[in-house]
Amino acid sequence: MAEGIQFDVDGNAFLAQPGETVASAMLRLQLVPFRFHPVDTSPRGPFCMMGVCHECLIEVDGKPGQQACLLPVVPGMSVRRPLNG
Amino acid sequence: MAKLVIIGAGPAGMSAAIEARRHGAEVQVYDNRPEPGGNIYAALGSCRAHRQDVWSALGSSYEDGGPLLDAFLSCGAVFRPRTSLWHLDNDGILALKGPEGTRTDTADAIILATGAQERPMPVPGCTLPRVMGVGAAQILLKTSGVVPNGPIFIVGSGPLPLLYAWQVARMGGRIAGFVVPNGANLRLSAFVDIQGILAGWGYLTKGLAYQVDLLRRRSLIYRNARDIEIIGEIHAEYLRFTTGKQHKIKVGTVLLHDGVIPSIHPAAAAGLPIPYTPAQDAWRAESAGNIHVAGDLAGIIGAKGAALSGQIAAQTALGQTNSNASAKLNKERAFRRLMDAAYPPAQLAAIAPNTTEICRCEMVNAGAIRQAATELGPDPNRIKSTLRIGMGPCQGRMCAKSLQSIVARETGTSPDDIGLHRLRSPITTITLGELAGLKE
Ligand SMILES: Cc1cc2nc3c(=O)[nH]c(=O)nc-3n(C[C@H](O)[C@H](O)[C@H](O)COP(=O)(O)OP(=O)(O)OC[C@H]3O[C@@H](n4cnc5c(N)ncnc54)[C@H](O)[C@@H]3O)c2cc1C
Ligand code: FES
Repeated sequence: MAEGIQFDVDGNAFLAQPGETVASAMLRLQLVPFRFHPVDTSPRGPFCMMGVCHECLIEVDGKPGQQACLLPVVPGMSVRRPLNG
Repeated sequence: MAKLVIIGAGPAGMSAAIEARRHGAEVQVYDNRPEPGGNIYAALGSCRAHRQDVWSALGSSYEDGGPLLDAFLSCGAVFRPRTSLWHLDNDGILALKGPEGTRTDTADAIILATGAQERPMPVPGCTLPRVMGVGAAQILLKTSGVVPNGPIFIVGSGPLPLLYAWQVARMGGRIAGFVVPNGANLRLSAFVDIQGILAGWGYLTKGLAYQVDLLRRRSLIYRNARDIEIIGEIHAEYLRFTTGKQHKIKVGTVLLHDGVIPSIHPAAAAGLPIPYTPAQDAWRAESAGNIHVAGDLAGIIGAKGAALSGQIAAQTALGQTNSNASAKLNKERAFRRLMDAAYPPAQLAAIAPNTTEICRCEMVNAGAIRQAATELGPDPNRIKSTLRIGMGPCQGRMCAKSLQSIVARETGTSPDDIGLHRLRSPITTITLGELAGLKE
């Protein structure tokens, strides 16, 4: 991956490709689940990849509740999976 | 100069923009995704530039979008990606949310081309990670070149799974098996409409080619499957179903598909008419006043038809006479009728076991809906206010259709008589801070 974009997930560094969204890059890197559901703590990950289902909500650069499937990876982006509630 | 705002940059929205610019209008286009293209041409620009292997594997139906995308990017319309419409009132004022926060816009005429989403197909375990829509997996392929973890099983039917399976094969991957629910159809079998066959001849031969290739690659095919269930702790691990005998299969990924339905939420919240079409088992939107509806939003039509309908919507919005696009659009409609008859939806929601989660946001299962329907009757608004179904972040996009199917079956009401539950703005998640940041 020559043109990799550096970003990190839970403090670990990864490379994304140009045009990749946070959701697609994380699926490629096998980083599921994305979160646990607030009602019953069931594990969740992207389902629709098009902004409809809101299953891919994740914290990006300190801002919670971002739709990972609509967000392109940019250099230095810091992603956190709210895995502990 | 008339100002036109277009919501959605799929084939319909892009064609509408190109046509409107031809007539000299000022055109502003918004789409919630990072790149123009909509569903069929998702991420086409970056795929063509950066992912040669994927680009050549996706085939001609994807490549065909290149000229349209290029014409759109050079037509002089202003395009804002990653910007969602969350409110539209009938005075033509739009409220939008984008990377820089919230903003408003006004227009002399508005074209809504919000396209389609996959019809949710709730089965037990469908909320687990590594369960996705087939169309979602195709977007993953287009944006990332990724074929998900194998073994991949597709549950469902329709043309999209066949196309996706063919694209995966060209990427060197493989769909391990197809589980076709009872009542659904994997093949093009119902040659019901001779005009449709003629109109869609090009598509049909392509459809058959996918099938031959698919069978040659020997995916397992299980027909008339019932009691479908996905099992796993932290992600999907097994797929269980019956076909006369019991099956329990180890899976890496489960992909669901039961056709596509119009993305009606913005149109419904704007108060446009939302009729139900039994032949497509879906709601669609109709134009009203200066708000014009185009593409799949007006009823699933496919990429060619969506582009034609976008062109016509722009002509209508600008008071121009319709070109010969209308005659071509009728041909696309005729073909679509054939496709609709060939691939009836499986409607698993109606027969979903009580434990199946229907509303993924508020966690409302099929059993709770059945009980509410029995006690309160078929009015979706009463069920909604009692169960909070459809009131989470997705605003009912993932459950409204299933709610209708379950309530229709449970109360013996025709789906036609069960309206869409009331939708109010904002139709997307928006914080109070973002609202406060809105400058009028
Ligand atoms: C997941 C999926 C995959 C598909 N893949 C194929 C395929 O490979 N081949 C094929 O022939 N057909 C495919 N289809 C069928 C497809 O519906 C049509 O072929 C065609 O894309 C329809 O064009 P359209 O312009 O009407 O809508 P779409 O292409 O659906 O485009 C609508 C656009 O509007 C945007 N939008 C929606 N709501 C908002 C909002 N509130 N604010 C801002 N923007 C918004 C969407 O993000 C999208 O970009 C697919 C359908 C789906 C749902
Ligand atoms: S995966 Fe559905 S909204 Fe992101």
